[in-house]
Amino acid sequence: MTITEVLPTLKALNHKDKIRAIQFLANEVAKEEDVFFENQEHEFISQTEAFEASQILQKLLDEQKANAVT
Amino acid sequence: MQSRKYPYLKELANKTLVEPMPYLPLTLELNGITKQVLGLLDSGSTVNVLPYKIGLEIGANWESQRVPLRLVGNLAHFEARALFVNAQIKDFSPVTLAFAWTKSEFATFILGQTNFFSLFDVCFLRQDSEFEIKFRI
Repeated sequence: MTITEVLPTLKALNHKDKIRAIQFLANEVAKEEDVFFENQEHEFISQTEAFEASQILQKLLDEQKANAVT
Repeated sequence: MQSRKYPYLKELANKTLVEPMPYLPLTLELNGITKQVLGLLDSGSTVNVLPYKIGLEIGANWESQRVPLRLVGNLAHFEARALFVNAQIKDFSPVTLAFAWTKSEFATFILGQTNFFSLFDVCFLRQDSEFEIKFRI
């Protein structure tokens, strides 16, 4: 299917569906390019493997505790 | 030992959840500025996560935070920095929570292993739609 075949169908869509089509295409391109849109609704993903961040925070906490003792 | 039970929540201020979730009400405090928030208890999260906007609302200055952190998943795309914030949960003794303060405004406020779960024991009673927080004094 070519773009010239798709365009008349897109043009015939109502306003709401046109916006959905734009969102769909934007997400498809983002997936292909590995681009992340900050303002898109996205699934929450837990920080299950942020081990480095966890270690740094724990080190800072330990330093704070040590400074409070001395 | 101090302990207190809380209900699972299905309604938040800005959205209705599909499933009831363990959101803990607490008060954050930084340099005299306080804010009441709901933190999602996420025992699978390695860190506490503070959304950018909430950090600003308690007066935190992004540029002043010098320790960069690397988050994962959907937050890997955003800068994060270490931030210590005082927290008060009901009548428990106040504690210091160490956060990964993310530049993302769409992040969920998470209470994770470092360091919420190292300060508090949590018992999830999903069948009763409640959870219990215990604090060792």
